[in-house]
Amino acid sequence: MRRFLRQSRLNGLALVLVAVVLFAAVFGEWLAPHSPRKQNLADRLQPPSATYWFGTDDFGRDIFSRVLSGARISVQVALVVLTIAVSIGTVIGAVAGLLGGWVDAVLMRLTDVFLAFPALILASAISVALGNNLTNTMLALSMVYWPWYARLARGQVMALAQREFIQAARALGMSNSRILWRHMLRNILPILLVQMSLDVGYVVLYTSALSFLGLGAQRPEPEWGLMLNDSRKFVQTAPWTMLYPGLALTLTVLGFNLLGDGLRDYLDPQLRHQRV
Amino acid sequence: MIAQFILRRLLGLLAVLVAISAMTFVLARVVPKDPARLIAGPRASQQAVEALRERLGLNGTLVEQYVRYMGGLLQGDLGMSFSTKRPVLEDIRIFFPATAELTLAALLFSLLVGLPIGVISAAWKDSAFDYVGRFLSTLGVSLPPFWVALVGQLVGYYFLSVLPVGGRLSQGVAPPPNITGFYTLDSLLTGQWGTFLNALWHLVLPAFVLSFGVIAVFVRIMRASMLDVMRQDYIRVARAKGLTYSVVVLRHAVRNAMIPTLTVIGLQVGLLMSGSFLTESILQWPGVGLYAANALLAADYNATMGVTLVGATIYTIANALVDIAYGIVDPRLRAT
Repeated sequence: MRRFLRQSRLNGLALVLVAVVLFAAVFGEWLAPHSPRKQNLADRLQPPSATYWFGTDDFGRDIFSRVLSGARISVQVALVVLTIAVSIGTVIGAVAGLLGGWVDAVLMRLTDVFLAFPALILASAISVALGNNLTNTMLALSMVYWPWYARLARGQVMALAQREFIQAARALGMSNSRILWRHMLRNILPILLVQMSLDVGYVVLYTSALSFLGLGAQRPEPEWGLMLNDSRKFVQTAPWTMLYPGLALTLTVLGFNLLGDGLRDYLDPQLRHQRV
Repeated sequence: MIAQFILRRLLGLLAVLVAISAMTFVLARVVPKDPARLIAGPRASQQAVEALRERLGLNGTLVEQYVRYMGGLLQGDLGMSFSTKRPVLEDIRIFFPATAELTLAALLFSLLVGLPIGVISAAWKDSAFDYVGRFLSTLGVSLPPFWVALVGQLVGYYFLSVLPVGGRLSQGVAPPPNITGFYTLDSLLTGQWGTFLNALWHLVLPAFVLSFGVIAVFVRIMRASMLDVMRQDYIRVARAKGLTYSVVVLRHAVRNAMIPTLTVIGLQVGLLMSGSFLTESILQWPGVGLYAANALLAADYNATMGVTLVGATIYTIANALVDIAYGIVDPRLRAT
């Protein structure tokens, strides 16, 4: 931990930002001073004050409470999306890498097709085909992300297959699936985790983008992208409605991106060597 | 040798394009519970939906449907958009020049800003500039483009009144004669200076918003590629010859570090296209992105799938072209 913090000043900032987001995701709903969903039309579009720290939106809802509760949605979506993407991707990539031949060729061409679409465009097309809600957004983003993990896992499995301990296991008569579960997975897991930490920020960003476009979370959910879309009508008259959700989103994505970069540099021995 | 390489890449490209159309078919016809309802739109009557199901042959088997779908695609038939009442391909043709102009402006701006920052960051590694540059490039990829657009509108239009609120030209300004479809270029070619400045003024905020993430990518890649080049023997030789540091950086390192950076331009097309969805819809830039965002909101199914197909096709072709160009420049890559 100490070495991680010493490595770059930005790592400390990353840990603080991510800790705040995770804290808000777990305790935000309880700590919120007002209900994030309850309307209070008497207090609509109030500027920030002692009662409403970040002001209120056009339904009189407290923006601070909504921003705080929004952290849970973002973190939850990111976790679900990456768990699905890593599971599908690792299985497909590992099977391709381990079996090789036509299985490998077919599976890799399949991933190529998914990778041929720009991410947000594919995610919105899948969301539209499935129907607009947050669950389908998660499915859509999982479909966008699994091919990257399939490629990563395949490369790692192919590299590992050349190593002596795997060849020894094979010489002992171990089956492919046993080699995969017992020996390979634990070796490629750290690499997959680093890649996940690099992707969390982007998944949060894409989730908000889809909600902003009207495809993801639906009203009255306190989702940041949806809040930003609702704030468009009030950019001039009530800029606080767009300022705080945007800031929360930016700082969350920044935190996870810095953490991912930091972890990658920290765990990559080649880079560490260079630094010395 | 080169011809063989290009041919192989083109065949691969063709295979991917066929696969893309199959994927869009699955999304358009297999995934939804009732494609006819989606194509007809939310306000269509039940009879209209039934009639459409009959007409499009959505009652047939999947194989029959696929053959008919592909037949339509080969003739450029992406279906009708029910919000504009025009063929989707016609719509895309109308809106494409605005998006192309915006995307190219954003790309040019990103290169002009991103490359120098990457070079300086690498040349003075671990300096204060390097730290700030790296932080800003991470911030750049973390900023939601839709939020930057809103903030830009607030500051540029409402607070400072120096930027237009949206669109390609001010109200009352006639578009220049259509030559390339780019308002800046067309007004320049026909000598309409007023229109040129007006178009340029409208281009500033959208191009800036769209370039944010891409600048960050260029900074990172240029920096990494420069650091790699700076470790090479020929750089050491150049230094040993007594050349000054800045000459070594500018004349020897930058040129070689440019190659990998330029090849990722193809990949940025995808990022720019995704970004244009959001940027155009907020800043009312009348391009394919705004068209697509409106189609998504109106559940205009054919338009959504048409844009998806065309977007993926452009993205794939851009990447294949870069790939081929790189292979011509660097013979070692032809073997793979």
